[in-house]
Amino acid sequence: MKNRLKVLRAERDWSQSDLAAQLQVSRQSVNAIETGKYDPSLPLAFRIASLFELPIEAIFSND
Amino acid sequence: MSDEVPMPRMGPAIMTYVVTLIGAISVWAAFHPSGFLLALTLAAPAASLLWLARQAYRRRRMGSCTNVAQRAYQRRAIPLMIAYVAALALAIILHERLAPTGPIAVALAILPALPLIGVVWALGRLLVEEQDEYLRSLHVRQFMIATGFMLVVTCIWGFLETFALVPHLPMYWAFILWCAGLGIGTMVNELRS
Repeated sequence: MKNRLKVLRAERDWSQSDLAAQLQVSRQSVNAIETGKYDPSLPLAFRIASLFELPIEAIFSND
Repeated sequence: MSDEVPMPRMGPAIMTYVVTLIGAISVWAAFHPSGFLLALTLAAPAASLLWLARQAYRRRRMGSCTNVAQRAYQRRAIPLMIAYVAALALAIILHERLAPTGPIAVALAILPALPLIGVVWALGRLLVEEQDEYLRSLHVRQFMIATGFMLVVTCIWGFLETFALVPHLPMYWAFILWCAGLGIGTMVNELRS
């Protein structure tokens, strides 16, 4: 899966640690999701979408 | 990620500990050193255990391991590993000097296994308490690699032993191999993340 996490984070001027703190996950998790090495679970994907106030499909795409 | 601090690598520290531990056990099995030579044999795994503890401490201090479950695991596992080295040394020394028999000999023989059982419990608690799904997936992959490595090596060794091609090894080697597998699992996780 691809995602726009890095772009969305940069738009808000958040570091990986900032985003990790808001999502209550590790910085390694944010890095792994951003680089496409790990696909988050549905609950975590919903948390990410809620934080950015976007629908899940506006952040994650299946290609 | 220029705004991020790189983490200390735990893999080399774990591998060094496992290798020195296997080396010390091999030396003891081959030469049965005692006194000063025994202390010297145990010095390498003890020193590498301290190095491993220091890596874990640095990792915590750098804030890259702020995870509650991992802190709890380190709080449990590091004293248990130190207790294991101490119990192993104590058991070997008392066995040599007192040559006990009966239930005392059994208790003394089991003594080094008790902290290792504690480590198994601590690893189980890590999986249960880990709230970060990505880190939990890394732990699970690491444990699966360790289990696979241990099963492959013990299976091959067992059949070689059946056909009298290799000497018999004590069963606790399964645990040592599993720990070596954890080191391989850590390396794999570091390469893939």
